[in-house]
Amino acid sequence: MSEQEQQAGQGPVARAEAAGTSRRDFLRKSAAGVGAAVAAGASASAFTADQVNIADVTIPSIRIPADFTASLAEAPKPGKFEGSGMSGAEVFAQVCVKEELAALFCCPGNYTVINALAAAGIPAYGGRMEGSMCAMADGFSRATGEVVATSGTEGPGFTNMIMNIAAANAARTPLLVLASNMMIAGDDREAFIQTGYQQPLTTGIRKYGKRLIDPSRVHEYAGYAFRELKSGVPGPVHLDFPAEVARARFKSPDELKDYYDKSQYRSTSRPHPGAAEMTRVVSMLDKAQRPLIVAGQGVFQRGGWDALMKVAEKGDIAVATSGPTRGAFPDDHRLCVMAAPDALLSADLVIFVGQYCMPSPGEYRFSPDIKAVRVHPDQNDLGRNWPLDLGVVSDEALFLAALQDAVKGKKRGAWVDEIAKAKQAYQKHLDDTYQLGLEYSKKTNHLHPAVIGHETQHFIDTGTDDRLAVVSGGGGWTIGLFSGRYMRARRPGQMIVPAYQYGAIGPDMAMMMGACAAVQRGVGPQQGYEGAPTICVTSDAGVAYSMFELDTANKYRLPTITIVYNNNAWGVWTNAARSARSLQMYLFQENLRYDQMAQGLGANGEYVRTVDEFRAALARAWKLARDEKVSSLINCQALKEFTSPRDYPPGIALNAEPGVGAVAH
Amino acid sequence: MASNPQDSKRPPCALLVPAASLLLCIGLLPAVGAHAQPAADAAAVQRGGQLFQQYCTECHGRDGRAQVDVISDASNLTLPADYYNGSTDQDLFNSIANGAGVAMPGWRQAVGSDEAVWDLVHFVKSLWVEQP
Repeated sequence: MSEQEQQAGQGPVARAEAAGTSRRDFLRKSAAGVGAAVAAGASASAFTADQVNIADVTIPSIRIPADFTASLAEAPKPGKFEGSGMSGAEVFAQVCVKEELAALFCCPGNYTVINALAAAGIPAYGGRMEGSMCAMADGFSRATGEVVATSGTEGPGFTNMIMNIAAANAARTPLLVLASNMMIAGDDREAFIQTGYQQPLTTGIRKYGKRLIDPSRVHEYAGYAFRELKSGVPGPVHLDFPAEVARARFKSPDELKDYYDKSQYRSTSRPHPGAAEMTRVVSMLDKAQRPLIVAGQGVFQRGGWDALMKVAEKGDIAVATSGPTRGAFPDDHRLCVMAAPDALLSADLVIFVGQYCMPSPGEYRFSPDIKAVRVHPDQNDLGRNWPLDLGVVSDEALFLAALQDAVKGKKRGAWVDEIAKAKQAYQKHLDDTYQLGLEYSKKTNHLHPAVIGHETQHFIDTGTDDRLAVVSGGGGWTIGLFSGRYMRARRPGQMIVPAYQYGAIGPDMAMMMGACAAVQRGVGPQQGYEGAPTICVTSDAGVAYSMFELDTANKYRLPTITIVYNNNAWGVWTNAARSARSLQMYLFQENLRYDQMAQGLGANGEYVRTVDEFRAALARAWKLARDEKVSSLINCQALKEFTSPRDYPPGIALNAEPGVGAVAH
Repeated sequence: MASNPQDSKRPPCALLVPAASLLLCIGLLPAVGAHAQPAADAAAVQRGGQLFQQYCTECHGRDGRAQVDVISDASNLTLPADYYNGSTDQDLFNSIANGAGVAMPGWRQAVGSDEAVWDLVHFVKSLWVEQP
């Protein structure tokens, strides 16, 4: 905006309105141009032709560069041994293609490797901050269970990723972390810039890591990486590629160590449950009056949801899900106890299946006398944290398939009735809290978090074309705790829990963009929902970490809707209760306009303070996302005092686990 | 206290009232169960301990010392002098039932009865390492 315009308060939008064109028209015309170009084949010329139809606009409108579109349309060009040979990076990229690496999310840096991956045909996304791109990769994987890669430059870019690598590790995400640039020859010399010793930094937040130093072993270590990513309990794998490895040239497979096919360097064999153990499980189930299966991330990652459903229905066995991905068992099923916390205490047998992040007794709302069975693919994790009556080494899906055949058909009417009553009681509590939130919202002219949570799920259920298509998730402290209670998952991969276990505030918006990319491509359980918008509910604290990726979302036509609970503070401000002088550290400027910032990044921005405004904004954002693939940010102005039970009871409280809104285990 | 799926719905007495008045407002609430205090016997402490493990440990910790820094305004329950809203039996009852400080919600509805709140009172007092 020019200085004159700033002084006059006359930016392009204001002048469009003055010229008889509403802000909505302005955005719609801009978005329609881009959307049409994508529909027409994403030609470069179509994007350059995108002009806003406002006579007196002198400042160019936000648009997607022609070069970007042309680059996306390029056909893959993988390396080959013939001619000048393959680089080390191309050899690695070849393995990634054969292993069906689902996508790469990165910022420039580690150029040789990311260029080779993109050229080889791996779907590649470039963004604004390495940490957010790492979170995007994690979100893609949480929505699909697939292996996804992230990359940044050797030192600064890599260290930007650390928080989100740790979050991926806590979630057991099969995340391939790649980074480098510099040379082995520069080690210990502070040669040029950016040299960093990466591997020690990921110790403790990865499953496997290796700095490649021998160029001839690049294929061998690619095999190491995918063996770890696709075997047992997944987790981040970190490879760093010095230039000597990435840029080495190979003209023959003979120059490479262990140049085997994936069928030879790793196995798809999985452990089956033993017959004696299955007999004991069936016996314990038969004796139990109120059995419960906790289906962890392993059930999702191993695709065990159909068998889980059959087991539950055959024996009237209650189910709770846990993990960073929700929906492996539908929340609204009669046997689901995710929204029935009072029933948890009655369970007399729990079978943990694929519970990677294991709670201790007391962290789940179970009776101290509950009997416990745990099914896990690695023997060495059985008995950790939770004392077991029986441990079973087995692949999750294979165990459930075996149990489906072995479990006796049984009706447990009393248990089913108790679950139904507990659900009813919890729903009444939620409805009461929502009504109270409506009163608070009306009287303060600020949106209460219970209202945002309820209205968002209500919109998904009633205001969209297909409620099963919408992947949702979010974070934040106050809004995370509230909205988690209201949001529901009804199919595998329908919800992401960005804060799961690691509790990071901030990656949620980027994770949901990654999930949106998975939906856009229809990967795994997102197949059939291609192009559906995703919804993220987050906080003003959280949005600051990822917000610039609205540029990325719009660029790639990822239709995301981000709902920002703007309470002018870190939601944890109540921690300053004992120190008045500390409170200032928890506060932001009031009434910040995240909606305007979103507009500046090419997205649609909405500002709301009432429930009616919120409903209308959601409807507009949905239409833009669905029809134009334009992202929106809805700035919901709130009050920090909504957090406090003293000021606005009931205020916040941690949610019962396992259950809706669970983040710890 | 933590992990409340059944946050008790509270009367909106605090609505639009300045913070200083809110404390008064809550203080003026009728003392629920004030005349129903059961004996503090071992069984009550044991029952209270079970409730504590189910509802309170995420903020106050399993030993009551509130060393989980995520919610650092939670009181160290072994030190009654540090309690936000006093440490008489009735203070404790009111804090557990109706909430305390800035961030602790009321738990009367979640634990199910006044008797259960009293059980928690007796258990919390069993944690004291010094008298107020």
